[in-house]
Amino acid sequence: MSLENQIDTRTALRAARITELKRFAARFMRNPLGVLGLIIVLLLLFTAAFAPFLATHDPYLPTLSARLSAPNAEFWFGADELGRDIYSRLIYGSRLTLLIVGLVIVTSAPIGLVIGAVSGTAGGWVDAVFMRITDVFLSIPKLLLALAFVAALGPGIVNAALAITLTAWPPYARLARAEALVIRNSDFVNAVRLAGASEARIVFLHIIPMCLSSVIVRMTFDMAGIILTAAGLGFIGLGAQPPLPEWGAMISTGRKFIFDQWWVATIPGAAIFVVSLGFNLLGDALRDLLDPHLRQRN
Amino acid sequence: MSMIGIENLTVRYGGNAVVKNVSFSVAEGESFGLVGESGSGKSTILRTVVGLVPDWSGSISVAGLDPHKTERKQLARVVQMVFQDPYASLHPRYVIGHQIAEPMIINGIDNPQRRAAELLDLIGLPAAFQFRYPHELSGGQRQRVAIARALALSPRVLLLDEPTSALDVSIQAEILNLLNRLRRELGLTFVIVSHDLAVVSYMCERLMVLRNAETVEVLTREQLRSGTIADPYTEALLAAS
Repeated sequence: MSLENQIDTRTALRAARITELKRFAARFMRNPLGVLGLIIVLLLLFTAAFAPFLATHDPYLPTLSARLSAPNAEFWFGADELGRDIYSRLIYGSRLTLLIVGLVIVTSAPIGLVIGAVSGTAGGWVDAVFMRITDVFLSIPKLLLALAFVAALGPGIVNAALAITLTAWPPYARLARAEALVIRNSDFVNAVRLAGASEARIVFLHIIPMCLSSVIVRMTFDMAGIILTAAGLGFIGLGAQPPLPEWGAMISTGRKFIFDQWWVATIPGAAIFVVSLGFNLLGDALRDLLDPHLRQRN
Repeated sequence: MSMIGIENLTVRYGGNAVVKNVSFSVAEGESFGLVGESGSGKSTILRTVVGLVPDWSGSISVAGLDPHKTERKQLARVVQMVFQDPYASLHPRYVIGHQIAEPMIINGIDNPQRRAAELLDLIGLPAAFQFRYPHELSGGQRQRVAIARALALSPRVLLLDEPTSALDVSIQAEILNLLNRLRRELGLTFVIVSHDLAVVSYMCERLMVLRNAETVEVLTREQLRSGTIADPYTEALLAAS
């Protein structure tokens, strides 16, 4: 095939994909709650990206004269026990939240996806071994395993993320396996099998793309849970360490003043709530669009 | 020389035999029909011939090859299958052109994209369809694409599992005529499974009637049309259609 033809093919292919994407976006826009969730998530991304421009103070700089001051013109959301601006800490904290969520998602989802898809496609003893390993991880309480892991490796953001990953991948494996079990016997997989495709090709190019939509939906829902678990670890002092402005850790310090200076704990709590809600709304909207069981054949 | 030879084929799912002691042979260039009600085991025979069913006994030979002992890629160039439901046989996430090209990519054939466009032309769809997704096509168009994909490796035998039963009547004739034309032009051997005697008598020179996993009888098209039928079950089937 000549070079010109190849370029032509590529642009036509890209055009076809863009049309698909536009159609998807148009359907997404019809769900106002999903759009609200998307806006919240985009706002979080924007905040994290432009934190230095949005913050009004240095998140680490104590102003002892302003200790625990109520929200005012200078400190929009008040100041904490060391007189640090809660608003600025909240803005910078969004970076930590995103870091943890990102770390957990990029590690747990692919691990679970591959294990589940291979397991479901191969069947037999491969399936048995992988699924029993998954069962073992599923049967350990989430927070407990994370606690033990952090206790062994020492507290910190990366360790907290690793600990959450350890408990977050099994549901993806279950999900992907369930999908793979159905897809491996479908005619479109049989057709490439008849063409001589290797099992690896079938798993990675034909089965995994079909599992992706439910994994993405699950991922979006999971992000809310990850934020909560990370905040929980921060709250009990095993996640981000002071003086990092992690939201869970901020609530933890605010606990001491919760009756007199409510804003110290409430503001980061509200942030966790809004962001989790955003991910959940987005996940709901995506599920309506992507879930193969909810979407009829078209 | 017979292109397909099947002797004493028995297939079991769990404990049940879904095909019992079936034997037939198909000559090169012939079109052979398998007819029966659903559950009579006709589709299972096709799936066993291409190696999708593991538990079977008897002997199968396709162009001299035993499908269960031959390497998959070698077999792929001899026999291909078209599935019943064109809505389920195309991958929903890939464009048509890629799906037709994929068997050629797997088997290292040069210029798969250009060949895919040629195949689209052969089955009567415009080349621009390569960039469409399956859900943008009608049932008949999808079945044409499935046929093009089956032809991508230039097989000598095409197994057709109810190729038109998922389509509405006006499209059925189009697909059947397309298949007849392809058989003539490419010198293919067909085995067609159908529950519809009309389809089989239009498409096949000889046919076998199956009932409850067993052979009832083998007829020629002339026998079917002239009504010289030995078995009452075939007569009942004919009367019903």
